[in-house]
Amino acid sequence: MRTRGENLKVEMDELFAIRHSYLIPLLPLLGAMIAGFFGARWLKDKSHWPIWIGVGSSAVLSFMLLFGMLRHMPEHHAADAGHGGLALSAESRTVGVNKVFFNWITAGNPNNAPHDRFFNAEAGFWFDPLTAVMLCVVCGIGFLITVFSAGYMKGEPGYFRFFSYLGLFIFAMTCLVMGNNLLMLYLGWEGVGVCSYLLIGYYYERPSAREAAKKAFLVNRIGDFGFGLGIMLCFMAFGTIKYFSGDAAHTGLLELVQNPVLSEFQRQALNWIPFLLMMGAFGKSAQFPLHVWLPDAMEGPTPVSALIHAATMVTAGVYMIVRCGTLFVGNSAAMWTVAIVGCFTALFAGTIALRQFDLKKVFAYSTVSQLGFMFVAAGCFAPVAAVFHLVTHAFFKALLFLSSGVVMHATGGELDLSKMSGMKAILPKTRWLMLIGCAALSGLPPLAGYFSKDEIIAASYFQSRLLAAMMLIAAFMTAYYSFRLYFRVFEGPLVVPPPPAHDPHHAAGHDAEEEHAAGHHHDHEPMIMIAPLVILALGAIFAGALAYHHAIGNFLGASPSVAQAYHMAQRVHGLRGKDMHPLQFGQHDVQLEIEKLSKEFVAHEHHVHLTLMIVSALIAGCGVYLAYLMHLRDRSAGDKLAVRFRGAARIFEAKYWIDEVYQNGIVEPLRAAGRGLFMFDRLVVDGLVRVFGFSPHAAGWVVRFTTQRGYLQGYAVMMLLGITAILVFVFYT
Amino acid sequence: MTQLALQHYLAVGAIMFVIGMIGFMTRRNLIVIFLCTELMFQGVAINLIAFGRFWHGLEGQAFVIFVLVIAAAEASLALGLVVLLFRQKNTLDADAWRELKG
Amino acid sequence: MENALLLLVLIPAIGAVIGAALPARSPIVRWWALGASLLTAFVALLVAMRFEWSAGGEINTSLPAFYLESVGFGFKFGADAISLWLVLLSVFLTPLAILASFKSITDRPKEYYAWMLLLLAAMNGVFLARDLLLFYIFFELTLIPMFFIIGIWGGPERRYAAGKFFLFTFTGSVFLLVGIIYLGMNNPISGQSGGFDLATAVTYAQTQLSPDARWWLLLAFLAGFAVKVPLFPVHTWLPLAHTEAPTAGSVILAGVLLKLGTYGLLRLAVPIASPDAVVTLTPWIGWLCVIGIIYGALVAWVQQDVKKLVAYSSVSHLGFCVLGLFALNTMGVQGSVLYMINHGLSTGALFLCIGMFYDRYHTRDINELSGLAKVMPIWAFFMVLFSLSSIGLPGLNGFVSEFLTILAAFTSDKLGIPYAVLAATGIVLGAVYMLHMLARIVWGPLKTPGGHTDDHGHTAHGVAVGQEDRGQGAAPESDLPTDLSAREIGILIPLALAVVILGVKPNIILKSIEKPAQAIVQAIPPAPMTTNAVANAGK
Repeated sequence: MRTRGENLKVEMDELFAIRHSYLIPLLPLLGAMIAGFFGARWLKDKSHWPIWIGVGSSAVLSFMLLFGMLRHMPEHHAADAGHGGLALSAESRTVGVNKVFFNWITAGNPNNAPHDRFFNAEAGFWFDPLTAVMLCVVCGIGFLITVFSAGYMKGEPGYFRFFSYLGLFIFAMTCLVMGNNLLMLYLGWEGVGVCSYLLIGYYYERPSAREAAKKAFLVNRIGDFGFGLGIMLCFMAFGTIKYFSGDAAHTGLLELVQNPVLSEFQRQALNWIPFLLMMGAFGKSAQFPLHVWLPDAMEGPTPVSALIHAATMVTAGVYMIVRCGTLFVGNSAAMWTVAIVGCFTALFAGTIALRQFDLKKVFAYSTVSQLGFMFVAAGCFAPVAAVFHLVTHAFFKALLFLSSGVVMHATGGELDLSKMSGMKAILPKTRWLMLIGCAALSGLPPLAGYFSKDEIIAASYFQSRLLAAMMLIAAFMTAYYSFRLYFRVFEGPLVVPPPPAHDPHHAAGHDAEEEHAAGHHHDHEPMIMIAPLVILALGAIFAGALAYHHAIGNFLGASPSVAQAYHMAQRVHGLRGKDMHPLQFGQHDVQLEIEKLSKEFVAHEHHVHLTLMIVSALIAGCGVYLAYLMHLRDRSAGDKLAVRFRGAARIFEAKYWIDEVYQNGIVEPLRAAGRGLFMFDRLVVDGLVRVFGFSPHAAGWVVRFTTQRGYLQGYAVMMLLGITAILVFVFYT
Repeated sequence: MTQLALQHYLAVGAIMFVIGMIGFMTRRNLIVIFLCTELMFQGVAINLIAFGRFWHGLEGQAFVIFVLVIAAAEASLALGLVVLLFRQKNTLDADAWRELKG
Repeated sequence: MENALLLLVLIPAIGAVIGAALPARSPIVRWWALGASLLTAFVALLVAMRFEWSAGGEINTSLPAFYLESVGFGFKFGADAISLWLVLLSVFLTPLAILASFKSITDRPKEYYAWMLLLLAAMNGVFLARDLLLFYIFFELTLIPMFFIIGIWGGPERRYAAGKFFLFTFTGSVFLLVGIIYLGMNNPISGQSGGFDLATAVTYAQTQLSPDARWWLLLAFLAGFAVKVPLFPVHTWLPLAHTEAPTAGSVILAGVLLKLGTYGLLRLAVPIASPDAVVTLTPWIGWLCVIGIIYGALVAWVQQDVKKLVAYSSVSHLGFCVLGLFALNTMGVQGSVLYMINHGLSTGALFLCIGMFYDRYHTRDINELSGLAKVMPIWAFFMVLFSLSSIGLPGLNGFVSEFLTILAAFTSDKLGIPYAVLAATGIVLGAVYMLHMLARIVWGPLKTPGGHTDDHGHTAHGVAVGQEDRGQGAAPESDLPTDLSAREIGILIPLALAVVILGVKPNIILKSIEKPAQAIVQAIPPAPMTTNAVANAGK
C-alpha cells in the first residue's frame, strides 16, 4: 500500500517535463553553443534562432511542468477532514520530487568517520511548486526577451555573442532554480554571475562597461564568500547539502534542521548559517550594502537589464531565502535582519531614484528598491508574498526596461529624461506600454503590482507598524519617481533629443542613429519588439489575478520549502497568529490553526488588510498626483523643489557616496596593501634570501682584501705563521 | 778537540734554512727568491744526511739524492719561467705579478 | 603492463638522447620531440586503460639487475591512482608545450627539444619511483633541463632567474637528501625490500622510528618540498623563473614541476608525520598556506607583467593545495590531488595563452596592451575560459578542488574553521586579480604597442576601425596570423575540453583516488579534541 504522498510522487515522476527535465537547461546551453561556435562565421544575423528554439522549448517544458503540477496538487480539505490532526504531516500536503542524474562531487571517506567526513553533491533537480513558478518566470520572460532582443540588437557586431550569452544565462538560471542541493544552487548562482559579467561587459571596448562588469562580479563574489562558507557550515553541522531527501526518511538538510533535538554544535551553526547565506542573497539581489553593482550594470544592452538585472537573476536572493525557509525562520535575528535590510534598501534606493535622470538608472534603483520589498516579505514570514511580488515585478519591470529600450532605440541611445519630452507622438504604442508598466510599478489598482505590494505591506504590518509605515513611504516614492519619468518622457510638448554626436557611451555599434538620421518615417516600434511587450503588459495588468482566492498561495504552500518553514516557525516561535499568519505561507486551510485563531482576530485581520489596501492605493495615487504637479502641470515646480532641498538632492544624486566609500575605504587600501606586500616580497622576503646568498660572497671579499693580495712574500709569511700555529698546537696541547 | 756532534750539523742546517727563509720573505728579485728556496732545500738536506749518519741508515742519503734531482729539475723549469716572466714585464720584481694572486 | 611503466621513463629519455644526436638545425627535430612525447602519452594511456581504477590499486615493477643489495637501492617503479593521474598530467601537458614551442623557439632547437624530453622522463620518473633514492635522483634531475631551458631560451634576466631557481630548490633538496639517507640507512634490508624501498621505508618510519626522529625527518622533508611547492616564505624564485622562462618552460614549471613538491609532501612527508608533529606542525603549515593564499593574491593584483601575475597566483593556488593536504582527511587529500591536476591544466593553459599574445606583440605589460578581444576573439574566448577556471567558476574544474580543499580544512580536526574562512577570502581575491587582468588585457579599447591606439572609448565608426585593425594591430614582423592559428587552437582545445570535463565530472578522478587517499589518511592519528573534533564527533 502506497500512501497518498507516494502515489503523488509516482505520478509526478511520470510527468514528461520531469522525466526529461535535463532538457530545460540543456536546450538553451546547446543553443548557446551553436550560436557561439557557429554564429560568427555561419549564422551571423540568424544567430537568434538556436536561442529562440532552445529557450522557447524550455519555456514550453516549464509550463508543462507547471500545469502538470497543478493537475497533481493534493486536495487539502478532503484529506485533512479524514485524517484529523495527523494529516497535518508535511508529506500529505506537499508536492516535491527529486530527479538525480549523477553524482557531481563525491569526496571523503565513504564510511563517514567522525574525523573524516563524506561529502556528496548530486547533479540533480528538485521539483516542487516553487521550482515551477520560478522556471516559468525565467523561461517565459526569458523567451519574450530573446524575441525582443532579435529586434533590438539587429545589426550589432557581436550579435551571435549576445545570443550565446543569453542562452548560457538561461542555462545557469534554470540550474539555479532547479538544483536539488545548495551546491547546484551555487553552480547556477555563479553561472548567472558570469553571464551577467559577460553581458554587462558586452560593449567591452567602453571602459565604463568593462569596469561595471568587473564590479558586478566582484561585489557578487563578496556575497558568495559568505554563501560558500554557509554551505560548508551546513555540511559540517548536518552532513548533507541536499534540500530534501524526497522520501520518508527526511534526511535532507532543510528537513534535518527541523529536528527538535539538535546537538550543541548544530544549534550554534544555525545561529550563523542564515547570516552567511544572507550575504550571498544580499550580493545577488543588490541589497544594501552590496547594491552598488546593479545601477552600474545598466552598461549592458537593455534586454539584458530587463532579463538579468530586473526580472530573473537579481531575484535569486529572494528565491534562496524562500527555498531555505526552514534555515531562516527559526532564527528571529536573521529574519529581522532580512526585513530591516530590505526595508532600508527599499527606502534608500527609492530616494536615489528620485533624482536620477537616466531612464535606466531610475529603473535600476527602482529594482533595488522593489527587491527590498521582496526581502521585507521574506523577513516578515511571508514567502508567498515575496514570490508573488517577484512574479509581478518580473512582468512590469521587464516591460519598463524593454520600453525604455524602445525609447533608446528611437532616440539613438539618448536616455536622459531631461532632454526629451512628449515622446508619445513618436512612440504611441510604447507610451501605453510604459504607462501600464509605471502604473503597475506604482501599485495603482487594479494592476498586478498593487496586489503584490499590498500583501507585503500587510505582512510587514503584522510584524511592526513602523515597518509598514516605512514600506508605505517607499511605495509613495515608487509611485512618484515612476510617474515623474513617465510624465517627463511621454507627456508634454514634443522634444526629441538631437542625435548625439558620436556619444561613445551609448552608440557603440548601434545602428539606431543612422535610422534616426534617415528620418522619422522609419518604424521605431517594429512588431518584433512590440509583440513581446504586449504580452508582458498583459502580465503586468492581470498577474494580480494570481492572488485571486489565494491561488498562488495555495500552489506555493504545497512546496515543502514553504510548508515546512511554516511548521518550523510555528514550532519555534509559537503560533502567535498576528505576526505570522498561515496564509502568508499558503496554509490557509489548515483547520487546526484556523480554529486556534479567535473569531475577533480573524475579523481584525480582515479589517486591517482592507484598510491597508485602501491606504496603499491612496498613497500610490498621491504619489502619481504629486508627480503630475511637479513634472507635467508645472515642470519648473519640480526643479524649484530640488533647489529648495539642495542638500538632499545632492546626496541623492551622489548616491550617498557609497561608491566612493567602497573605492577609498576598501579597494584602495587593499591595493595599497598589495603594493606594500610586493615591496615586502622583493625587499624583505627576497632580501633575506639574498643575505644568505651574499654571505659566502662577502666572506670571499674579506679574504681577498686581507690575505690574498697577491704578494708572494705575504703568502710565505702566512704559510710560516700557519705552520708555526700547527706546531704550537701539536706540541703544546 | 771535541768531535762534531749531531747538534752542530743540525744547527748549520737550521741556520741555512732560516737564512733562506728570511731571504725569501725580504728580497724582491725573482732569481734571488729562487736561490733562497734552494738554500732552504739544502738546509733540510743537511738535516737528512745528519740524521742518516746518526741512525746509521741509508734512507737519509737516498732522500737527499732524490731532493737534489728534484731541485735540479725544478731549477731548470723555474729559471725558464723566470726568463719568460722577465720577457713579459722587463723586470724581475715579484710584486709585478700581483694580479696572478699566486 | 607493469613494464610499460619503465617505458614511460625510457621513451622520453632515449628520445632525448637520439634527439640530441640529430644533425643540428634539422627541421625534423621538433617533430621528433613531438612524436616521442606523444608516444609516451600513448603508452601512458594504455597503462591507464588497463589500470584497475576502482581498486585504486598499486602496480609495481623493477629492474632487478640494478639492485644494490649493500644499501638496498634499486630501480623500482610503481604507480597507484595518484601517481598515474600525475603522470597523465605530465604526458598531457608536455606534447602541448612542445607544440607551443614550434614557432617561438628558433635558437638551438635541437638542445631545447632534447631538454624537454629529458624533463618529461624525469617528471615521470619522480611520479613513478618507488625507491627513495631513485625518487631523489629524478627529483633533482628535473632541475637540470629546466635550468637550461630557462637559462638559454628565457627572457632578458634568464641567467639570474635560472641560477636562482636552481640554487633555491637545490638548497631545499639538501635537507631532503639528508632525510632520505637517514631513513634509507636505518631501514633494515631484507632481500629486495628494505633500505631505500619507498613503501617499506615509510612503514618502517611509522612503526619503528622514535617520535623525535620522525619529527626531524618531517621537518627535513618539509624543507625540501616547501621550496618546490612553493610555500609562502620560500616562493621568491617562482615569479622570476616564470617570468624569464620561455612559454613552454612556464607551462611545465607551473603545470608539473610545482606538483613534484606537493606530490612529495603527499608521498613522504604526510605519511611519516608523528602524532606530536601533526599537532605541532600542522597549524604552522596551515598558517603558511593561508598567508600564501592571501599574500599571493594581493601581490598578483599589483603586477604589471601578466606572467608575473599568473606566477603569483600560483603561490596563492598552491596554498590551497597544501592546505587541503594538511587538513589530513580523505576529502582534503582528494581535493589536493585534484587541485594539482586542475592547477596544472588551467595555469598551464593561461601561460600558453599569454605566450600566444606575447609572440605577437612582444610585451606582457598590462599597461601596454588592452582590448585584445577586438583583434583576437578566439584567443579571448580561451583566455576568459581559463581565467574563469582559475577563478573557480562552478562547472569548470577549478571550483571543485578549491571547494573541496576549503571544505576539508573546514571540517578537519587538525585545522579548522578559521583556516577555512581565511582561505575562502582567496575566492574573492582570486576573482579580483584575474578580472583585473582580463579587464586590462582582454577588454577595453584596443591598444597594442606600435599598433593602433584607441583610447577614447569606442564609437560606431570605431567598429569599422577595429575591423581594419585585423591587419595593423598585429606585430608586422611576425608571420603569425592576427588571431590564433590552427596549431594554437589545436593546443588549447584539449585543455579547454579537460577543463570542462573535469568541472562536470570531477568524480572521474575523485573516485579513483579515494582508496589511496584513505590509505594515507588512516595512518595519521586523530588530533586531540578541538572545537572541530567535538563538532564532528557530535554526529
